[in-house]
Amino acid sequence: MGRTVLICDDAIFMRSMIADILKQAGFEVVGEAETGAEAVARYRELKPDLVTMDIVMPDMGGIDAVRQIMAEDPNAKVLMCSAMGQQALVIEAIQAGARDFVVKPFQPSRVLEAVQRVLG
Amino acid sequence: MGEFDRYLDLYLAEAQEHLGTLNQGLLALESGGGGEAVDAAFRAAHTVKGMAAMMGHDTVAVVAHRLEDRLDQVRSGRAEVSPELIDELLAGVDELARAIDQAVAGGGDGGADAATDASAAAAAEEEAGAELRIPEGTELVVRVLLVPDAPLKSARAHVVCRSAAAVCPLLGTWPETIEEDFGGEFWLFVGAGADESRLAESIRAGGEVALVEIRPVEEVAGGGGAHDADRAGESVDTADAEAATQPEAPARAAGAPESRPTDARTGVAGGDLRSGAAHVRVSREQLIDLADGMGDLAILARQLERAAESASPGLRSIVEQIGRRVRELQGTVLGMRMVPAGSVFDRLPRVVRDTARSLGKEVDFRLEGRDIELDREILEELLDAVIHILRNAIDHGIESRERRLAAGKPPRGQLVLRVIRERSSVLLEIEDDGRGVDRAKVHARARALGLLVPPSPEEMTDEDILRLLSQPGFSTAEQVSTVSGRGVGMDVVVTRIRALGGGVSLQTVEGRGTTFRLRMPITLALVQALRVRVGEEDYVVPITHVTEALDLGQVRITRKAEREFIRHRGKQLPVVRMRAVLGTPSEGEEAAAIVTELGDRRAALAVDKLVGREQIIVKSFDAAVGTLKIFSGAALLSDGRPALVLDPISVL
Repeated sequence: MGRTVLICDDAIFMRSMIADILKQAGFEVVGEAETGAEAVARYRELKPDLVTMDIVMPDMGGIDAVRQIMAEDPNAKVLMCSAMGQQALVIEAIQAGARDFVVKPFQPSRVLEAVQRVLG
Repeated sequence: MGEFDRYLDLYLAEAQEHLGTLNQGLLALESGGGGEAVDAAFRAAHTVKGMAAMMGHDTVAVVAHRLEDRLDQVRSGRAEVSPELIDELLAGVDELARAIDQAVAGGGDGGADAATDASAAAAAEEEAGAELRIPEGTELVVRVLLVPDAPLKSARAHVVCRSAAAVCPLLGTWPETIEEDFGGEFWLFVGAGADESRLAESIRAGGEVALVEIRPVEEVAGGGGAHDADRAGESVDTADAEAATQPEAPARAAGAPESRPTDARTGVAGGDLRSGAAHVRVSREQLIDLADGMGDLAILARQLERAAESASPGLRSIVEQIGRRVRELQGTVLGMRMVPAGSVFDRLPRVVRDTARSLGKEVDFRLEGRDIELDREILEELLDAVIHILRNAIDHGIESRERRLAAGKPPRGQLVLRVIRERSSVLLEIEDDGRGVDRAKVHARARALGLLVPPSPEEMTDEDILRLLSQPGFSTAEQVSTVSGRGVGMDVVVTRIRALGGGVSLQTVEGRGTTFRLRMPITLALVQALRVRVGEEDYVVPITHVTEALDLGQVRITRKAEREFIRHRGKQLPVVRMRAVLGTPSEGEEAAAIVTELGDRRAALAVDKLVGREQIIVKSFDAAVGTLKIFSGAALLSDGRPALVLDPISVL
């Protein structure tokens, strides 16, 4: 498929896990970001087909990053990565424009289903 | 298989529970239970109605509604409690059970009855929908059910709503604000101009959706019953086509959402499945599979431990840890199969009542020890046997009112089932105060059939009687009645109980009554057994069948006529050589014997040697035709080898 993805998460472990799942599904990981601000900057630069976004990141959180990205590109496709118990934040992210969400711990099948829905 | 089937299982399981509550409530009511009993039954009927309406099972909802109505009359004193009323209500419960079965088996229900009873449907709907607020301009009402294990359901509902809003004018939702703890069901109110199939598709695209149901607003808001059947039918869309409910009939009794919050939790959206719940429902097959698997693993672990005996200390320690953990888990899994006796036996009061009424007998039935826990499989297997014994007791044991009074007994027959926990088994006692077994009749019948009997009826022991009654085709009833003449015979009952590793005994006194005692292992999966060798083969004997093990080197075998005896505890004990029974010749003298007893009949079974004690896993056993009766099952030994299970009582 060769679709591109930008992975935003402050934990290397989570980034590499998401990367593995998506690579197996044929995605090309074109960039990674550890903070919200970095996510916005890298999105601007890379224009990936898909962004996976952690909610809690240092510097600028995932939700603010979604708002900025959506403001710059209303067609951006952002998938939120959330922990259980962050329901209110997930709802906020969705209202901010995120397309869908997955919940940690990730099940690869659920991640891929969500990705499919986002890219529709 | 779709997500919808999961709801169906939950629905069915819960509905069964409520049916049980209804039966119990009504029986309690009949025996003077009063307010609490009616309330419980009323609530059960009400809950089933709500659940059925949600599943689109119209007939079920209507039947439940009628029952609820009638119970309400009882509750408010407008209907008087009489045996006839109880008959009527119990018949209603049976109708409800049938309707549920049909609805579940058919993947939906035709709703034919619902159409003929539109008023009940309308009433059900009106009650449920009283407080629903539907926004102005709504044309379609969409019911959405999320899959039970979807994480963050409220966030998911937002995604679904947004997805829907992209293809239709979305005027509102119910609940208006979808809170974090919402159960997984919500309704969308859609304005004019929506394309139904696109709408359904977009809702599904939101993810984790189990069910989408689109209906015109007037069906929900109006009285129900007067609507166009085609329309209602064609827009039903479920997770999987094959799991779809049948097209709905006109008078859909589906309530509007007002009644949902509670129903969604107790009924379908799965209160049990919500995170934090103390219990989850697991299918029986999976549980059996799990228990069998753990049993196999435990045996493998033992083999592994043996194989690792000469391994390095490091490896050995790991192997031992694995073994310990596996055995712990096995205990946990077996514990999961334990259920209180009441969960299966609570349907017996109903059986007794119906049997007694149809035979014109008056019987008080008591179930004691319903909290004692047993393996669910054993309980289920036992149910038929217990029912058979109870029916026999009512039919042949308990006398008519007149005869009882003439005999100086209380007018109503007393029938008790006691579940008693013993150290390593469970005892079930079924006691009646009827006329007892007619020894003369049994004796005559046995003679007529050419069976071996003591010379006179008086000399027959209770064990003789049980042995005779358990002969295939043996029945002393002059006429086979519709009640006890149906289904299994005593022979099947006894065989089944033995196959489960249990034993049966009988105590009967003419004029006073009969007591059956069934002694069962607590769990089916693991049975304590003695491993013995005869010839080349090892066999296992459940410990419940063994009274004692003897060293034959210490005793002298004497011969009298054609039979052999040993002197044991001051008595002559007949010796049965298992080599002869099994037809396996072997060298040398037998070294050991196991003593088995059934009442006062005892015997010593001589075997080549005792190998040791084992925990065996009894596997189901379909004996080939012509197999010796002495084998009651097959088992896996701890070294992984299969062995036949011996039933020593069969040689007595």
